[in-house]
Amino acid sequence: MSGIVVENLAKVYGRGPLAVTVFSGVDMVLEDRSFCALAGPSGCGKTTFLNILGALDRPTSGRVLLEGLDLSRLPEGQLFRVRRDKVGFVFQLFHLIPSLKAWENVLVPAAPWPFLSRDRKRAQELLALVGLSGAENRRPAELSGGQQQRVAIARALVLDPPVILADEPTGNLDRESGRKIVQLLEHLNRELGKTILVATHDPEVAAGCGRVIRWGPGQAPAC
Amino acid sequence: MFLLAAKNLLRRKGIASLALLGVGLGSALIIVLLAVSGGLDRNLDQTVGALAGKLVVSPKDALFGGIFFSSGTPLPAGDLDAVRSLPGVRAVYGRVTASLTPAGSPELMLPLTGYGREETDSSPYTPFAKIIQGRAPGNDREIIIGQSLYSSLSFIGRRLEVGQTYPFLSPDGIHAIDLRVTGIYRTGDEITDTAVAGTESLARRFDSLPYGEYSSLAVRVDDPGAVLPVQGAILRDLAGRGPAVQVVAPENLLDPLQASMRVVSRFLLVLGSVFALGCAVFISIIMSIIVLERMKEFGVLKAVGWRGGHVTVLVLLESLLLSAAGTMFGTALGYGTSLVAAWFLKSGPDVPSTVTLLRIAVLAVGVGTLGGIYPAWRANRAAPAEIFRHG
Repeated sequence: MSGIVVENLAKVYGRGPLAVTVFSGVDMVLEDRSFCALAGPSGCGKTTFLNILGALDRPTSGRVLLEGLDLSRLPEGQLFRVRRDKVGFVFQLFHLIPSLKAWENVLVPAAPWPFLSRDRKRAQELLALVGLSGAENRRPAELSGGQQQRVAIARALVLDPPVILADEPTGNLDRESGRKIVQLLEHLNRELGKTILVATHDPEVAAGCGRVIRWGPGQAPAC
Repeated sequence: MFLLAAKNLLRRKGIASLALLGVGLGSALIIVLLAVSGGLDRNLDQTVGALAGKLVVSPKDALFGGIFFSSGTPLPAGDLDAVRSLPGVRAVYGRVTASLTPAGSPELMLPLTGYGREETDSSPYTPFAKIIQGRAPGNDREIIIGQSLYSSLSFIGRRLEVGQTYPFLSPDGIHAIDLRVTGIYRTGDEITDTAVAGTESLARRFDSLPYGEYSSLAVRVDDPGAVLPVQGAILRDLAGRGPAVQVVAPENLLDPLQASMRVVSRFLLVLGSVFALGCAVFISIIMSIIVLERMKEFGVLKAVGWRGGHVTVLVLLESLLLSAAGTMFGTALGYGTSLVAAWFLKSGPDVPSTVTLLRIAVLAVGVGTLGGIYPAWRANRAAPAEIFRHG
């Protein structure tokens, strides 16, 4: 099955009396090509949830099916393939490499393998897609926060993953730039058919997404 | 990835320059040490080669076998004729040795060897036949100076220049005798090259030695491999004839020196290895600092699909690039220093060979890899989950 299926998922840090349950009993289905917000206050476990969906972390119990792959059964050495082929991440703080130009930053996920001239063309196309034509040769310090986030989104798209996970993508931007980023994600969902899950504490950002999953501290998400 | 590694280093110019300087100075020092060690070995080999097949007959009471300064009871001319008639002896020459003291520098004593006309006319091995600058002495008021002595005197600021005349204290220690330096010689034998050469009569003047007596006899044997039998024959023949003598093969005198040189060479090799290890530790510290600053970045790289192995390779590449750049800088510095030192000291350090430079390049790869292992391991441990959790 395409999309993301979460069954009885739980994450607990530590053991014994000091154990902290971040969430438990979470069931969720995120259909293929959906555009969804995971809305809730800071510290309620959204980031941990995204980490597990993106094969960056393992759940304590339960299972996650991503594009039909059971992440909880995959060995550690295979998880990198999921991160490379199935998921694109967008971070709140962009995390671009300062010494690289915009087009080089877009190609970072492909950097372990030799660059081909068509890769550069692909980076330029993606930068055009996110509205950064003409900024290919600028370094992060020469770009605004909104522009840096656009480069980060292009980077998330470079290996053409079916799923984009964005953790507070507007958290470091002003209202107007944040609105434009949400519009861009919506465009990617509509035009490219990407499944997009945005974790946010901002109700306005959540309202811009097609579906909202509300998540409170210690609660299972409610659709 | 190579491009990314190079650009990552350029991001931290200050710390990268510091590492480059450290590794550069370390490798320059290794090259200079190798050059010095090579130069010492070469000089010793040349000296041993030049002394092969030679014997020095001197009075029993002469210091150091009579091969440096004149001392002890002079040998009569009859000894010279007796040795000349022995089998296995190719040539015998009477030598007069004295010490020269420049009038302005009473603390200096320069060994002077006087060569007779018979020897200078027939032997191709005397300093008179080994002039590298200027010309041989033409009379009793001219001297030539060995290249090693010339370099040493230049080094301490007491130059004796070719074409110049200098006053030297006469044997009475009161008057001065002017001598003109007409040339510089190099025989390859460090003992001879660390002395002054002149005519026999000039040396007699400074040693107050009358004609018919010699400070020592220089013997050249037919077969360099048969020095010992000739040495024994001379001792037997001269026994009871005049003053007691000693017969020394100068080549053998260098045995302890050769043994010491082997120890020095090994010490320099160990010192070089310690410097190389120091460079590896230095690289490791610098790369660890860089890696600690970039743990979040490595986490992001893993989050976007890099394997742990890719991160390891990236850090190792950066470490290799850093040590390679440092070594290139150090090689240029060390090579230049050795070149200048070899030119300035003439018989000093060797100019490093291509093989030496290739060995240094291999060492740089080793140092870079060794220094990068720990930081690469640290980078590999970057947990991407932490990136999302802490922003």
